[in-house]
Amino acid sequence: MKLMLGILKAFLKSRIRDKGALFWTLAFPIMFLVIFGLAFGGDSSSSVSTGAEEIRYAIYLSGEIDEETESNIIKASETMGLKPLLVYSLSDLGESVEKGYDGVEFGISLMDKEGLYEVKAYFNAGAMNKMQFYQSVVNNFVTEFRKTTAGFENIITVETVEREFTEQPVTNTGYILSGVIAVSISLSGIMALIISFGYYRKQDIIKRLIVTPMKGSQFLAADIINNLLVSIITIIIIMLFARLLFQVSFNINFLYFAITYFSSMFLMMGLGGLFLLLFREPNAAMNAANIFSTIMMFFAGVYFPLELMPKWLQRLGYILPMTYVAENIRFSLGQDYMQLSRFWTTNAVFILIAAVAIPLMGKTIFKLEQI
Amino acid sequence: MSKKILEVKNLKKYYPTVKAVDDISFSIEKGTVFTLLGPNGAGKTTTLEIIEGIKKADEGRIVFFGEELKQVSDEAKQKIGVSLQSTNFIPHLKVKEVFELFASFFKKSLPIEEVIGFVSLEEKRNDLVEKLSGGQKQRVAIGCALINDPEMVFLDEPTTGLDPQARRNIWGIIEHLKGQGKTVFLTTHYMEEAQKLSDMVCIMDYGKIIAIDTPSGHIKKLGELNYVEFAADLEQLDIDELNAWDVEEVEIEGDKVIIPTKSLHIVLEKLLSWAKRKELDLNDISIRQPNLEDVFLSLTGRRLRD
Repeated sequence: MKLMLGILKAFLKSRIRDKGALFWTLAFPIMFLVIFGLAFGGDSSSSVSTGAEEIRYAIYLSGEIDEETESNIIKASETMGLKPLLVYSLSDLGESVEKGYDGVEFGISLMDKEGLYEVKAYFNAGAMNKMQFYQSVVNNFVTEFRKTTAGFENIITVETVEREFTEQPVTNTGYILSGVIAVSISLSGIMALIISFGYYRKQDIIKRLIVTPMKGSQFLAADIINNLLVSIITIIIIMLFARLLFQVSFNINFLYFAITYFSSMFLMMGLGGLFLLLFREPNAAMNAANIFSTIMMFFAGVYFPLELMPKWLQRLGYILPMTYVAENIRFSLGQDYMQLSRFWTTNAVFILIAAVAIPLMGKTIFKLEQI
Repeated sequence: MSKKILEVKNLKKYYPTVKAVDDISFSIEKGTVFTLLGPNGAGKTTTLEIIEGIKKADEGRIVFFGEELKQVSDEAKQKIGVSLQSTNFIPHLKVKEVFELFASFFKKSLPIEEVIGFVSLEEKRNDLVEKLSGGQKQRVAIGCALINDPEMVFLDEPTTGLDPQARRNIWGIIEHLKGQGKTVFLTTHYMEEAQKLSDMVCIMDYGKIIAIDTPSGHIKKLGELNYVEFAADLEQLDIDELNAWDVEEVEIEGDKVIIPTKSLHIVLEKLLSWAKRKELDLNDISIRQPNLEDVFLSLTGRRLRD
């Protein structure tokens, strides 16, 4: 323990004194927060494409809805790329939207009032950042529906179904803040082991430590703790900054946030470790990690919803790990809703990847010294 | 009676394209300075790193502190100090902090200030290591090797790349260690360093040991050779003419001519009269005793610096 603390102390001093690296660790995410916060922080009136693929919504039909109308609803949904889930009561509709059952993202109720139709859209307060998008989807859905159904009365009343989890109003800046935190975690995590294991190996620092009684696992543990500490301090500063500059409110679920933070950091460290294993040369690994991070930053839906991007880019977004890191961060900061099963699954996958990649990288690098 | 602190038997380390260490055996007695001398690529560092536990040998036995080891144990690591060729440390640490870090690795350690004093870095204790000169960094590296008051110290080319003054400072430290009764295992490609500091010199080339002896023992094997050296205009020289005298093979190094001979007086007389007859200017004439460089040359046909 004394040994591990000794090296951790050295790592921390080294990190704090590296003014350049420290500046960028802090300045880079704050810069993004300010730029995107100023650009998109206010009420945005930009139109939203409705070309999203397979959005699931719940629909409740009341009154005398005939088969033809029902089939028109399905037709309109298909045209829109929407997948309806038919529910049988308004309370079921509310619950589906609230809990996100079967991936339901919003709800529509269609009521026949003596030959006229009243449409109400139900949104989840936790998905405020997607509200404009959903409103646009509903508008377009109604337009499509009108084309097929004569005598349709278009009345849209937007209602918000309150949900226990999110009580604070969510803003675009809050969404961006979650993204900035996801970026900060991802960048510091992915670079962490490349720096310590890659560059320290290249400079024979690891070799120098091998000839002492220090063990590889102690070096690895100290390095991981060092990176976790620096990263969490960075996140706190970013959050304070967001609070002061943009009055962003948080509704943090600390348990979920802690789980997300640790699993995401470990995942990114593991990915950085895999880059190092793949390229061996730290400069090459660092370049590859930089390219990968840049792709993630712009296509993982961290600063704006993935649904706003063209379909082919959305597909790219769904294979990028930062997409899921950002999702989990938004959920744990109360900026978005997600199903708990999805939350636990993604975190478990993160931990699993890290549990394989980090020890594999550590052992391989230490073994390489022995060749 | 002397006691062996380290025995290496039939050590081998082969890479696909090179035999880095090719079946070498030697032993080191406690309290002595043992030097591996050889050109770059001779296998000195690989040998050292196998013994230190960094690299794994393909074959061979290592008996360390009377115990046969496959790999250096943590207990053995407590008793040794190592200074690698590279003098890099975790960046942005001060001299004192680097010593504190290394002290934290060992069960017992010397007071930091004592080590700082020993390597004469009192005025630099609060300076960042990366700001130090090459010689000062090397002293930090040696200080780290001494922090646990080791019984045996491994110094891998501690003076390579240093200026003469810094090199002499390091020599002073090694002599001091020897005075304290520490065992020092040194590698170098500087023959004067090996000759000055060592009790025993092991000459390595192409992964093999080609001779082990004391410095004077090595030199004695060359017999009664003396070396007459001078600088001259080489275009006017006929080397074959010189080789016809009672000399070993005459060697040219830059504009310098080196004549090894066992008949010093005769060769000197001949040389002077020959130069007068040819109206040749002989500059920087000197006569010297043989050294380890000459030993290496006689053993391999090459100079260490080639």
